[in-house]
Amino acid sequence: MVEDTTIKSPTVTSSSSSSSSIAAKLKSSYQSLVHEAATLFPKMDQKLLLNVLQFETTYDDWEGSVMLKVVYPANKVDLESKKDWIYKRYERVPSVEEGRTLRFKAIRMYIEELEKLLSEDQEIEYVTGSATLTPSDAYSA
Amino acid sequence: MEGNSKGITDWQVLINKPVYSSDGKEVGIVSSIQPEKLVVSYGPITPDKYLIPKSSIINFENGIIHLNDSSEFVEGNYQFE
Repeated sequence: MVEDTTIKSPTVTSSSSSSSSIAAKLKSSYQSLVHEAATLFPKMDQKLLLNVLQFETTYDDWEGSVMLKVVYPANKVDLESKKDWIYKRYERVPSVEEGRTLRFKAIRMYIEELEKLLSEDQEIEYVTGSATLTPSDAYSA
Repeated sequence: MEGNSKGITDWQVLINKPVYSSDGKEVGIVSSIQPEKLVVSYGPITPDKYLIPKSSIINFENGIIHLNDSSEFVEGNYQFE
């Protein structure tokens, strides 16, 4: 009689099962989001995309500070004209890396702007970089 | 999951796996998977980064990814950072 107490209580089992199903549901939702992000923005670094999405939806006053790297196909694009295009659009002079990547810091780089950037320049092969919460970073070196 | 690139169903298993060119040189380690490409990084502090089409993979065996392209081609065409 004494040995027969505690441990396998139905309450614990039920709670465990319920929490497991909640976790599975959350994981499934996240995987759907990641899959949709990759489908809608196939040329974007998915980590950067999700960071921008998170900052933009979490902080109303986020200024869209992003250090952006726009990658073009190697040896197939006139990078000088692309630099001019970036300057006219964002008032930033990009630096060139590896002869195919334009790197610059921008503000107001929200999801909609990334969408416009990719749709207006079909030659872009890949967009990567990092989003930051600190507005002053947008103006530093 | 292993074998020809067309046979890879779960691309996430390639994360952190080494990539070798057709002439046997190490290109780097897979750091992320894009819909059509792999991002491969080489070096610890300011790594060189390569954008490698999934179609360039000819083989994935014993945890190693082999490319159809030479190291020279990889350097000249896939490095972006």
